[in-house]
Amino acid sequence: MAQIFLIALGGAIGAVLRHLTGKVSMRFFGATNVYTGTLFANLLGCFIAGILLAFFTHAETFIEDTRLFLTIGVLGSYTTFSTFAFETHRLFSKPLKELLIYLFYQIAGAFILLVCGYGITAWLMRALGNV
Amino acid sequence: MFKNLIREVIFVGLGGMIGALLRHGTNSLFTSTFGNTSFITATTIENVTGSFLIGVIFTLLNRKDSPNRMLNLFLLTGMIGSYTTYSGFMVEAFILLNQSPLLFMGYLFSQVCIGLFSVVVGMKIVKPFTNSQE
Repeated sequence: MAQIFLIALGGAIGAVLRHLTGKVSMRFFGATNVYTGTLFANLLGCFIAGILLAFFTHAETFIEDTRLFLTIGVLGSYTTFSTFAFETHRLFSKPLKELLIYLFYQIAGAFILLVCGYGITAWLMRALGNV
Repeated sequence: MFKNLIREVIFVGLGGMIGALLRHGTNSLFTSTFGNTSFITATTIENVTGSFLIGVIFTLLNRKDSPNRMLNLFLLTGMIGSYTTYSGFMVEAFILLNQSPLLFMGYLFSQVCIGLFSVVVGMKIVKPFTNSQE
């Protein structure tokens, strides 16, 4: 029961943060087809997902509820696939270059950031003697 | 301005809450039915159905000249946005990369393609209903 509550709370926080990310990106980039709030949310979210994945894989002890709250709740909601698919579809009627840049950042960019987040955290945990 | 932001936060947050719970429910249901298979995962199911739904709901909500902004925020940004996930998708791809590069490429490519296809199908299915409104 507590888990359901934590996931609901995390989900609400993640969605609101994603909406705010969209507002910030709107202020900096305006109405663009490529540099959207969804892109930044997914990039940042995947970097943090890498950090958390490394932590929860290598940490000796952690509270399972914390993991559920952060990964399934906050990050799961902060990042989104549906808008990514939707925005990709919208780019089909735009110049091919924009579509390719968008897909490159979303797929390669997000994955590289995830690997970086994972690598840095795993390295730090080893260097600090596994907290 | 500030009052508007509060309203947005409430609608997005409420939708996000429901979306995350639905995702968790799908996860639990999927694992208890199919166990932990490696290629088709609960995330795949959520992302594909969510992409279909964004096509359907977006088309239905925005057929009028003055779409309801709060309903858009609640259903699309909040609920469907939270129901689907990108971090889970990438984490699963990362885990697959340790097993086989081919599986990794196949997972990324197929999920993006099927997701895209689902958006188009969702939009096309409700298209007849939007035309009759005009």
